[in-house]
Amino acid sequence: MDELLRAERLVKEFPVKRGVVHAVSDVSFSIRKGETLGLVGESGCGKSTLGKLLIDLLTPTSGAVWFRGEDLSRMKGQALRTLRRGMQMIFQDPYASLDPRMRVGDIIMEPMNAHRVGKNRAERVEMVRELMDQVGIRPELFNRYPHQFSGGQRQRIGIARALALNPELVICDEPVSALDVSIQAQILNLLGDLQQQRSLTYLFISHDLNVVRYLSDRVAVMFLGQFCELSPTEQLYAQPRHPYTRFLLDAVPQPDPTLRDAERALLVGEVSSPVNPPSGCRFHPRCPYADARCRQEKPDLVEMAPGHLCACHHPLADREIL
Amino acid sequence: MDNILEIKNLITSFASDGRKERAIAVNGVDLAIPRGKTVGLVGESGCGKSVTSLSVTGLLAENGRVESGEALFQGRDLLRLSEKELRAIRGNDISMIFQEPMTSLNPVIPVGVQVAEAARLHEGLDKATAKARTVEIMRKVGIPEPERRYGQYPHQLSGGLRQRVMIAMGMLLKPDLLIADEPTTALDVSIEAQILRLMRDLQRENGTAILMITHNLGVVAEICDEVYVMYAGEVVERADVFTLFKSCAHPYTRGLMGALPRMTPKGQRLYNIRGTVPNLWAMPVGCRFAPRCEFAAERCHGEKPPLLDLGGGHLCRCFAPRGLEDEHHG
Repeated sequence: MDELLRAERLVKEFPVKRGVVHAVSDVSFSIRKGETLGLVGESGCGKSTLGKLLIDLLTPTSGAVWFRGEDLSRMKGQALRTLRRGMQMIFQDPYASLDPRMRVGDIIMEPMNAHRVGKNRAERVEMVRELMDQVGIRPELFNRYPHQFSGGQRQRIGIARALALNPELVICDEPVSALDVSIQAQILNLLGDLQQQRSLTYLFISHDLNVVRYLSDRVAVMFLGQFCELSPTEQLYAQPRHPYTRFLLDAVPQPDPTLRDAERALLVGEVSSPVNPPSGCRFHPRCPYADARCRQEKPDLVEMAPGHLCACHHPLADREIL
Repeated sequence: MDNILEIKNLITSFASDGRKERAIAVNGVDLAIPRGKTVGLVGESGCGKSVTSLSVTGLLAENGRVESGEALFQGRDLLRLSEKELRAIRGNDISMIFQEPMTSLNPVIPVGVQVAEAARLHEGLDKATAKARTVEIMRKVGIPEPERRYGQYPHQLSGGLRQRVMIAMGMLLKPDLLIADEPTTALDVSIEAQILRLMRDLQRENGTAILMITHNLGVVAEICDEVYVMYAGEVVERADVFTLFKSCAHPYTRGLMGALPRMTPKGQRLYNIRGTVPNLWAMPVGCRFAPRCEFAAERCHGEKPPLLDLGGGHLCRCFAPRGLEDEHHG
C-alpha cells in the first residue's frame, strides 16, 4: 500500500522549570493511504503532541515529517500551505474548539476563506451546506451559534470544518471521549461513512482500547514518548508482544460480567515522569521482566511477525501468561 | 431482605433562571441497596443518576429540592434529617467519592493530615497513633512512599493518587455504604483497574455496600451485583448483572449495549440510538424513550409504561420488552 505520511526520528522536547519534558522521543513510522492507524496510550504519553507534530501545529525539536513524499520542514510559503490543506485535525472537546461568537456555517467556512476556495461567498455557502448535510446537521441551521447545539452535534460541526478543505489525512484526537455512549456510536459511524465516501486516511488517537480496536487497521501503542508496539489490529489484541500492551489490554473493564474473575495482569505503580524518563527501556521500572540490560539499553522496534513491531528485550512468547 | 439503603419514590426538582416551572430531574425512583453488595446506577449525562445520590445525602445544589419520597438508612429517613444529623452520617456511616477527588479534599491541608483527622474523630485515636494508622493504610491502598506523601497537598498528587487517598479514608472509616460517583472516569485504564480492585477489597474486608454511579458498562460488568438503568429521570430497567448483560429487555438498555464498540468488527456499523435525550422542561407524555425508540407504537406515545417485573426481580419499564417478544417470533 502507498505511504501517505512518514515520521522520521521525530523528537519533541519542551523546556520546563524542572528540566526538559521528553514528550516525543525518536518516533518513526508511516501511515498508508486509506488506512486508519490507531494511536493508544495513557495520559502524558505524548500521543497528542505527536499528532500535532504530524500536521505541523508544533515544530519538532528534531526529525522530519514527510507528507505525499515532501519533507514539511523544507517547504515554505504557498507550497507549504497547499500541502497542509491535505491534513486536518478533529479535537476532543467540541465545546472548546468552536468559536462561540461565530455562526456554525461561518465556522465551517473559515478554512475555505483562508485558502480562497470557491469563486465567491455564494459558492462557499453552497459547499458548506453540502458538508453540513453530509455530517448530519440540517443546512437550515447555518446561522445558529455553537451553544445551540448538543455535544454530539458540535462534534459533527468540528468534523465538517475539518473536511472543508477536502483533506486526505484527518488526525482525530480523542474525538469521542467527551461524548455519551449513544452519541459516541453515532460519531464513530459517521467517521466510518466519511472514510468510505471520501477515501480518507485517519490517525485515530484515543485512550479507549475498545474504540481503537473497532476503527483501526493497525494500532501503535505509546508509552512515555516512544512506540512500544505497532501491529495489525487483531494481531495486537490477540497476541500482544510488549508487556505494557498486555497490561493495558488486561486493564480495560469489559462489558461482560462473566469475564470479571478471569486471571488478569494488573500494572502496579504510577506512570514515570516524562521530565526525567527512566534510562534504557522507559517501561523498566514497572515491568516484571526487567533486568540489567533493560535498565541500560533502549530496545529498538523489531519485526516479530509480518508487520508486527515490538520494542522489548523480552517480548512475550505465544500466549504467555504474566 | 436486608437492605442498607432503600430509596422509595424519590422526586427531585431544580429551579432554573428565567423559568417559572421547576424541572423534575428525578421522577419517582425506587432503589434498594442490599447490605454488603454493589449496586450500579447507569445512564447517560443528565439522566438523574447523580442527582439521585445527592438527594439522598443532602448535597443537592442550592437550586435543587427533594419534592417527595423516602430514603431509609438504618431505620432512619435521610430525607427528614437535619443538616447536622446528615453530616454525622456522611462522616461515619456513608462515605462518598467523586469523579474529581480534588473537590472532596481540602486544598490547604496535607492529605495525610486530612485522613488522620478522620481517623482521630472516628476511632478516638491520639495524634501519633492516628498518623501511624494513616501511613499504614496509605501504603495498603498502593500510595508509594506514604511517609512523604502524608505531608503533601492535594495538588501535588496525581488524580489516581488523590482517588486513592479518598479510598484510604473510606477504609479507615469502614462505612456501611460507599457512594462512588464516576470514581474512575477521569483516570487512565491501568489506574482505573487498580482503583476498582481496591474498592472490591474494601468491600470484602469491611462488608461495605457500594452504590456505583457510572456511565461505563465495562465498570458495571466488572464490579456490580445488581444494576439500575436510568433514562430521563426514571429507572427503566433493573436486573442482576448477569441477567442484564445476557438478556436486557428495555430498548434503551439494548441500544446502549449495541452502541458499545467491543468485539464489533471494523466496517460493521454500531447500533445508533437516534436523536438525543429529551429536555427536562419538555418531557414526552407517554414513555420518555418513545421518541427515540424504533419499536414505539401509538400507545407508547400516549401512556406511561409501568415498571413491570419480568420474573426474578428483573424489572423493565416497557409495554413490549425485547427478548420476550423475540422468543414469540422465533
